[in-house]
Amino acid sequence: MRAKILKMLGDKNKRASSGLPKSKKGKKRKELLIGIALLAVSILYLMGSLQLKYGTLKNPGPGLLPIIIGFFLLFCTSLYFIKLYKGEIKNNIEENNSLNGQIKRQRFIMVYGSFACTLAFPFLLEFFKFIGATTIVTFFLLFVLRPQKIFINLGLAFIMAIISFWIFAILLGVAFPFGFLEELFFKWLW
Amino acid sequence: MHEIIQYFFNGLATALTPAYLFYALIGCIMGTITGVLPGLGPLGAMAILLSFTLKMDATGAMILFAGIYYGAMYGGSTTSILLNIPGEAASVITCIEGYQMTQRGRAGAALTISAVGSFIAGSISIFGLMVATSFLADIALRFGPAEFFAICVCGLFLLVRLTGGSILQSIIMILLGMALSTVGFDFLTGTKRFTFGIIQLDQGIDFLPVAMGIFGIAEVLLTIEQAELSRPIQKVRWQDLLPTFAEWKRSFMPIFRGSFLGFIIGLIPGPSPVIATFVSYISEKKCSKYPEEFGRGAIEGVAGPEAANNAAVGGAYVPLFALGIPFTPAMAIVVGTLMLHGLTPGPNLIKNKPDFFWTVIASMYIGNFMLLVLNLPLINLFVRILMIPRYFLMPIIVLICMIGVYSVNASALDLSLLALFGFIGYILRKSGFQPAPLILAMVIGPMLETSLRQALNISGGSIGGIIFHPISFTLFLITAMSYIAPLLWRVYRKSRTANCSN
Repeated sequence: MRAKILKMLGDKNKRASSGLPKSKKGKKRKELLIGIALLAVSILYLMGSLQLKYGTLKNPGPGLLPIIIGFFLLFCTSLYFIKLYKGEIKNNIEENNSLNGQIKRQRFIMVYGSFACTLAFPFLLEFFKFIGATTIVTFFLLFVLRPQKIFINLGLAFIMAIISFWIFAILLGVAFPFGFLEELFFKWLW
Repeated sequence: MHEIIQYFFNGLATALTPAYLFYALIGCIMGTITGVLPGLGPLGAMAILLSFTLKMDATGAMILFAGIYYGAMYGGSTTSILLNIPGEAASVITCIEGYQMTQRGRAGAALTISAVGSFIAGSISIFGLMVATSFLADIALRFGPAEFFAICVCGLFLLVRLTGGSILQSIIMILLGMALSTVGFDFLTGTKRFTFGIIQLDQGIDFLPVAMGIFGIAEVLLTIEQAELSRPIQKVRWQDLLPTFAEWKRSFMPIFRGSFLGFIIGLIPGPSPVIATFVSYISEKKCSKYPEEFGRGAIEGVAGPEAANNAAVGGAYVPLFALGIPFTPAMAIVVGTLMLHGLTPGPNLIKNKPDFFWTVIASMYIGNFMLLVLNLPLINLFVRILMIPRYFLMPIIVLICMIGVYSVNASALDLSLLALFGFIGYILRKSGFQPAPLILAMVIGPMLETSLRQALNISGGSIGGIIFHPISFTLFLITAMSYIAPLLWRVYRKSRTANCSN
């Protein structure tokens, strides 16, 4: 316990000595992370492009443009990272520090929850087929944006799934994965 | 000229068929709705509805998109004037004078002048589009790979200069877009590039999930993060819609100046409707007989910029139809759509498919007229769209994006890419990166690569042979000047200030 408190105090002292408030430090860390990610992408791309045949100027190969892009990308992202590190680039990562912790947490859940729903859709589609997957994803989307009314959200999600099935699968003829529910509604709506 | 008129009337006859009239109407309504809703611009709407167009023919798709683009410009001005909420970027400047006019009880006059100005500017720019495209396309038929390479390079460099924000960030986005365009089979040798053994990537990264992710999903994520705006909805009475004679008189010249400026600026790469409104506002402030009224509700400050943003739309179509190169992000989506329909935009398209081109042009006139007729009577209805709660609207947009992407290839990979690019777009936009250069570079990338490799082949590997062609040299010179001229101007101003202080 004592060691934990001492560690925390040490962290606090370190923070105070760095001269930056906590929120600004977090912002700079986020900016640097984006810079590192861009740098990593450019290194990977350049490494990949070096494995392609670039041919000659007279007979350019499939690797010529990727190599040119790769070098320029590495140069630009390195420059960007250096500028970020030196604090020469003032990015406007919008951080509203006037918001209290709960609202910040709510917004975090809204954004990352919506992203998670979008990411989960292809996997759900495989297991629950169209109506099931759409209902689940729409319900969670509605839930992260308005968590108070669970049953209304569930009803709305199901209605939205049926309407989108009717528009896309029946009217527009899009080929969705079919299961029991889809067969049932297809017969009923057609 | 006789041929142009004949083609135009043939196109008009086709555009007046019920199916195309319906697409134009849907486009105008969807465009107005997206223009009214803050955050969701024409670009987002076009990206979201892209998959729907696959069930139409290419002409129908283009008519729908033209309606959306023009409609968004009309719709954006409504909320700017009535609520001081710009529905999309090109309407920001209208807020300044438009909302002041509302405060003074002249909202109806501002809305009418804005709608009529947009209609006149739209019609002028479509005429400009007809003439300029036919003229440019004839010249472009004589262009070789070196010239096309120069146009692509010039377009991308000017885009970096005009996009706004950090130049370094814009260059990174362009390079990332070009890097994405190199994924998949090399079209000349059949070599696989950056596919990492994933078979679905052999055909390259589809434009659709990237555009829908960056403009659709990212937009939703950014919107839900912001606090919901709630303002009292302003009602406009019918009798208030009529401007006074003095207001008509004061708006007449700004509309024509705005139309001219907007069309010219629309030809330049970058977010032309936005730039056009700013330039028009500044020029009106300088030309006005009542400069003291600016900032307090000057009608010229509504008429000029509103005309300019609509005229810029027509201008933006010129390089697309004449050269096959999109200079604005919205046009990149149009190119993507045309390619999905198996059409390659460019001078050959006008030559080989004149019926398609002229039907689209004629439908633009029809769409513009529809917007004028629809918008003024339905203003109160469109403003009410703002009352739809966000928790209900955002899931619908996400759902449309997901189903839209899936409906093209029925591919789970496309859905994963949609989510991934949505998140990447959200992070990058929050960090001050503009997504438009990435999308444009992704579309221009393959054209640039083809023309570069063909030009090098033809010139026997001589880079000088590409640069010193008369047209390409002029284009490279213009590009260089766009970077050098501001520097020279800054040095000149500094030396003048130093001389004056001495």
